[in-house]
Amino acid sequence: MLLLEIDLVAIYHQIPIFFKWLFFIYFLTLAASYIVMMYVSRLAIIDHKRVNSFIDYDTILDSPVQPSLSIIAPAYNECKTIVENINSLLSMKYLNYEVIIVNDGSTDETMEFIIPAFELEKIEYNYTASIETKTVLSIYKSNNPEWKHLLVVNKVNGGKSDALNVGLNVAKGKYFACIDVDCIIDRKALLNMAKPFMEHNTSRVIATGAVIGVSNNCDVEEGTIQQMRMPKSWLASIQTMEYFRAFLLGRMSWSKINGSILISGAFGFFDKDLAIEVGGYDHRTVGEDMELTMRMRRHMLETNIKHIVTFSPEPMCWTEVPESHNVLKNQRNRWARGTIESLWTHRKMFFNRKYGVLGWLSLPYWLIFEWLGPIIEFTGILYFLLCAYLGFVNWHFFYAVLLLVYFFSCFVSLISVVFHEYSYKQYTRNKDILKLIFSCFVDPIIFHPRTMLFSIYGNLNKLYKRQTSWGNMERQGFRKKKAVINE
Amino acid sequence: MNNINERLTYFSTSEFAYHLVIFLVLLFACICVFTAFFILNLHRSFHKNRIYFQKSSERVRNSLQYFYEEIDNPKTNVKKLVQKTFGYKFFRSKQAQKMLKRLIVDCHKSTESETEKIKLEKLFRLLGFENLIIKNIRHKHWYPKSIAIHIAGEMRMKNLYTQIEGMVDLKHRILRNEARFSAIRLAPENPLEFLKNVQFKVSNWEQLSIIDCLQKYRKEDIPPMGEYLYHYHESIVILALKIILVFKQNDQAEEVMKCFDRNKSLAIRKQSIITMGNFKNKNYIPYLIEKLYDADNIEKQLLCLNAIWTTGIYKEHIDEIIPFLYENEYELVYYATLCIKTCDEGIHLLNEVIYTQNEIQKSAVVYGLKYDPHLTNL
Repeated sequence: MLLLEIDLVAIYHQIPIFFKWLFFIYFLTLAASYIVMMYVSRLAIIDHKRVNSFIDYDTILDSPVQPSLSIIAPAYNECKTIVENINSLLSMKYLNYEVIIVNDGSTDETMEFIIPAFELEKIEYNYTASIETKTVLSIYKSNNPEWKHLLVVNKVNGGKSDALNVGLNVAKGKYFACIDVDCIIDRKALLNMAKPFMEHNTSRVIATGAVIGVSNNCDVEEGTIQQMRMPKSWLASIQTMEYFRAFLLGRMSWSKINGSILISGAFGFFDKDLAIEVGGYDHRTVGEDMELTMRMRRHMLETNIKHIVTFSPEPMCWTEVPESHNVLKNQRNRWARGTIESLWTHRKMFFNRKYGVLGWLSLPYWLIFEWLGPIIEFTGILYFLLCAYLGFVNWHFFYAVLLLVYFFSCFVSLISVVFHEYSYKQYTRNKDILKLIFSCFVDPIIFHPRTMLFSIYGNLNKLYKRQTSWGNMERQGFRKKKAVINE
Repeated sequence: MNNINERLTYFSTSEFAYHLVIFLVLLFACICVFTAFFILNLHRSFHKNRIYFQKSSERVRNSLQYFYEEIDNPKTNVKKLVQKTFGYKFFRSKQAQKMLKRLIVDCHKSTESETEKIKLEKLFRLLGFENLIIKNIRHKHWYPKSIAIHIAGEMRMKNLYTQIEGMVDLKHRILRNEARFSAIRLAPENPLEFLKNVQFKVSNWEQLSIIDCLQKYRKEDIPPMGEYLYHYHESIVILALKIILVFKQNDQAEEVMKCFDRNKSLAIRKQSIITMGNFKNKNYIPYLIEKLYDADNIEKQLLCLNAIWTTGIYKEHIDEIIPFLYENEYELVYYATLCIKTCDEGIHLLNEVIYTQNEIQKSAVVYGLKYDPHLTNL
């Protein structure tokens, strides 16, 4: 009994020590990985700029030997902006493409807006239902040759993955892009995105992504961005900087070492045959984009086929980011759940020699810093509060470490802004650059703690198996934005 | 409790650790401030450069205009003219030289006038840029080397052809691509001469770009691609078939047919049929119909039907297509409908056929009568 008590005391003594070292090592590893990422993504950006410096896309745009592309855009209660968004998608500078709008059982007047606007009529469209989906109610096509690229599918509500799978079944293109219908896409983006699929001889390109910009407060006219502006609200401004950090620092470096496991659902291109072969999007997860990329890569690795996933630092798609606390909370909650679900589904890949860079680097990184990161941070805060309560805190040292962490995170964000300036700069006004810089300094104080809490909330939701859904994004609509600009 | 306190605060009570953290704080704070100013400076310099470029390009354009006018004068001493126009202080800076080189290349690219192109090439040589290109083409690093190859091609530096032709099979993808595109521009006679001996596969992107390079040539200057259809490399055969298609080398039809019969590769056969279809010569319809009946799978049948549809048919061929209207495969019926509707008599026939078909066939015919495929691949 006495022995047991002694052991318990020893263990009790060890716990705080364990946590102290855990947080210390965690911070060091995170800092080191960020520094390595900075170096690698710098190389990737320079390479990309150099390789693409000679290409004159304008002349190749009209080539009659382009590969066929399908753009799949699921829509759910988007009546406010749907017509303008479809018009934007139909104005792409590419010859051989189709736009498939999948109305996922919208409860608003989405279909009522689309049908007359594009002179649609119900057709009997032939397709192979390679992937099982919810019932397709009807398929529409326009009789007007102006909109010959458009196909609209109306289906029973089944979630984003299900809508994308319907799009995949219907698509006839060799490659497909999944996009959010509210996104603004660069008119020349399709050829840019098709290029990696065409240029690699030795490896099969299975997916490609690009930087996604923030469209809040931008001057949008006829589906194209006329003037880039930083969002007015601080919440959206910080997210702009956060997007640069995620894309220019994170995704670029992972793509350089062929370790990407995520091609964003807002704008990404995939090999259609392979996506169908692996079963399409998984409707059981809310992180369907990440899960599909991982499944495709896993399949290729298991069948020993050399493949790559590429990423471009050039911004080709712009999306609205949440400006309200609740929408942001839902979004981050969904992202957290998506990460957990994808990592859990492919847990077999962890530290498995067969999966190379993915098994030894990408997945452990995502597990430790993306999924467990917020949990470790939150535990750290609780641990600190406990230590403070017990009087174990040396306050001078604490303030010094706090400042170190703060300045380091500012430094990482600032470097992503440097990359923005060096690569394909989106913001040209001095005011916007100042706002971007300022966002780097306020992010660790007002934004990061929030996203950490939202992530924890997502983890709890996953733990208690709460229902997954699309979540509602409050769209401002481009006209409204224009009106704001005109004011 | 004291023991834990001691162990927990081990770092924090250590003088060294505290000083190290303070040092790192100061270091990162300074780096942050420096980076912030660096971004602002970078932004400002980009902005300044843009304005400088706009202003200077205006200046260069004026100088070029003056040069164009004066060089036509037979009494003009060209060297003196260049010295007078581009020799003053402004053009001596490294930045201005770089910009001048870029602008000359851009002007050369954008102008359609052959005489203007020749003048620009002359100027390029007189300004000494040619020597720089020759030097950079031997550069160790791939980037300056590829720029030099690219410019050599654009500025038609024919004396570098042999050197560049030797690079068309380099391991480095970008260098290889640039060398291939420049070889097209620099070749003394046949722009596709270099293709005869290439070892590395020509990627789809390269095929697209090569076809784009050839767009600048007159049709007569593009060699007949028939001989390339015998190439040992599948990608070259496909490229040749695409060139025949894009540049409408209808006299190569016999070779395309032979190519189809000779090759077992599905990719080559597919491209051969697509190319045949694009000749839009109804005399080849019997050949396509023969291939349609020989085809052993739906994919090949669809390709043949697609080619027949692109070409269009005569009344007498309708009977040979009709059996496909009763296939159970929707796509076959759809493409057969497309073929038949190209002939006036066909539309009337299709409207009658509907009553004898099952539901799938009927819907394919109805759809085919109304809509053409919106994508050009199968």
